[in-house]
Amino acid sequence: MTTLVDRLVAQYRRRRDALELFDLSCWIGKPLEPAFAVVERMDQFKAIQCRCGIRRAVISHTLGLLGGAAEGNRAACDAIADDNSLVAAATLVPELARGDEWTDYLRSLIARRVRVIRLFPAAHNFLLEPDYLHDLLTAVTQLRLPLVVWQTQTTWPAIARVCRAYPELHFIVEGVGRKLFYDNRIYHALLERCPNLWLETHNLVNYLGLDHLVERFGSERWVFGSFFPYLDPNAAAMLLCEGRMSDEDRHNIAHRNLQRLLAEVDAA
Amino acid sequence: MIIDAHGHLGRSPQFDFPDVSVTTMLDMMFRLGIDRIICCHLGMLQGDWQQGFRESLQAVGESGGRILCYAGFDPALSDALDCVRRCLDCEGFVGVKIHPSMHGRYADDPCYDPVWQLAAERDVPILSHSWDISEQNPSQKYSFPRRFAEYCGRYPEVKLILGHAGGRFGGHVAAAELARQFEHVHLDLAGDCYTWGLIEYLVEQVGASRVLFGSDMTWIDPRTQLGMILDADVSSDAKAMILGGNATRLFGLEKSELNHES
Repeated sequence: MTTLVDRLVAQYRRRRDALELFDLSCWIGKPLEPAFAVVERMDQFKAIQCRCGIRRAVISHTLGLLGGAAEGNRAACDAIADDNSLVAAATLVPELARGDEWTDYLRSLIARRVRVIRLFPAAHNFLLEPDYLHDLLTAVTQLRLPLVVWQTQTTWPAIARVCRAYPELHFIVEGVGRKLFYDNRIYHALLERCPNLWLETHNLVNYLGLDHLVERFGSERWVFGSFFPYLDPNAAAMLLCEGRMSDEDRHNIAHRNLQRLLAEVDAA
Repeated sequence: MIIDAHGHLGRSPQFDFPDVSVTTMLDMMFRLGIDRIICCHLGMLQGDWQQGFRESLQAVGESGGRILCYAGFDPALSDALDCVRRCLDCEGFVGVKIHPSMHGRYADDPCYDPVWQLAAERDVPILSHSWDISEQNPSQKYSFPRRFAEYCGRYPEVKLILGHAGGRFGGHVAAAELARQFEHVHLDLAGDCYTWGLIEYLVEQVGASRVLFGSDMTWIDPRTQLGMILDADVSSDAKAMILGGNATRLFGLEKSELNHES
């Protein structure tokens, strides 16, 4: 049996590493959840990153959620500064800028390799609504920055309204705090109607769920994420390694989709 | 032999299940090298016991023994214990499943005493749902691992599998505590329980011989737990035990042969 196990382990790691995983959802800072192995600092993160097959990552700092957004953004930018395999996600709250100032503020973040925006409407007590966040969402859309929101931080109708009001915005929903696939009847319908709606994969773990999404909607609207270091990236990775999909689809989800999204930020 | 010790047949109304057919399940198992799965039909737990029983028997037959079954015990049924007996009299039923959270009864509720007694008489394991206390889902309190201590103490001969190994961080810690206290308690990895370092923690706390691969298929995808186990920072021997060695021993499958023509 151990011979079989060793063969399976080697096969899995080989396939996983060939996917060149680009992870949308990696975190540093004070843990968001209790964990058996604490990874708070970049040196701890980097030591484990390779073992898990994560080649590149978007790093979010928990300070942006738990403390102040501006401080969190600075911490995220500092954390990735010395490693070109990493880019940062910034957290926005409505008072960080006003009107046209949003573009300048976001450009300053892009200059420090921020490539993704996160909003936490429930935790930070604001409305995710097109009217209420007009200037912020207009600037984020113009600069082609993908927007990531947890489904537990807002409502699906609000997500739909933003997607429709900003059809050029890349809106990525990430499942945290509740099983994302419990809402699959809702997001199946929204994916039909909102071509700019994307899903991050770490919580798409229902049986055959990701395969079904690829079969129904193609492979270009799913972005690999792991919610590391709170969750084990191998859960999301194995879904791709053994996914019932073509190699093209597998690589799209593993790294190409995110790579293409971020290339639009560089070009904007 | 790779054995998934915690699976399901059927679907729940809660969300859209893409495909719950036995054929697809067997195909998935074949692709992943899973030799056997032990399932509890969701109907047996969710109010349609007869359909669950019928489809369980069909699945055992169609799969040539690759799919084995748990008898679901629903304390709301007046003939719940007879239902379990009826299952255990049939070929392919190798254990009993209880779900305190789904049925709104604490795991140490007296309603479960007869089923522990029956499991002792028939020498079959009990698989139970277990989870952490959750504000989001208050019914999880019924299955908090410490709630099992009463029956574990009373029935040391019954092998208990705590499904999901407590579900979330606090539940995992409590599940490991229970398993340290009672040698007949085992922990399975089924469900969306992907906490970083979980497998290493459980192996360190209770030993690899009491940790089982489980998926929760058709609810959760088995590839997720397999990825975690294969890459875990534990020995190959430990992985072999988790993937199948422990379940083989626990369910007495050493001499049981598969019908490879199915």
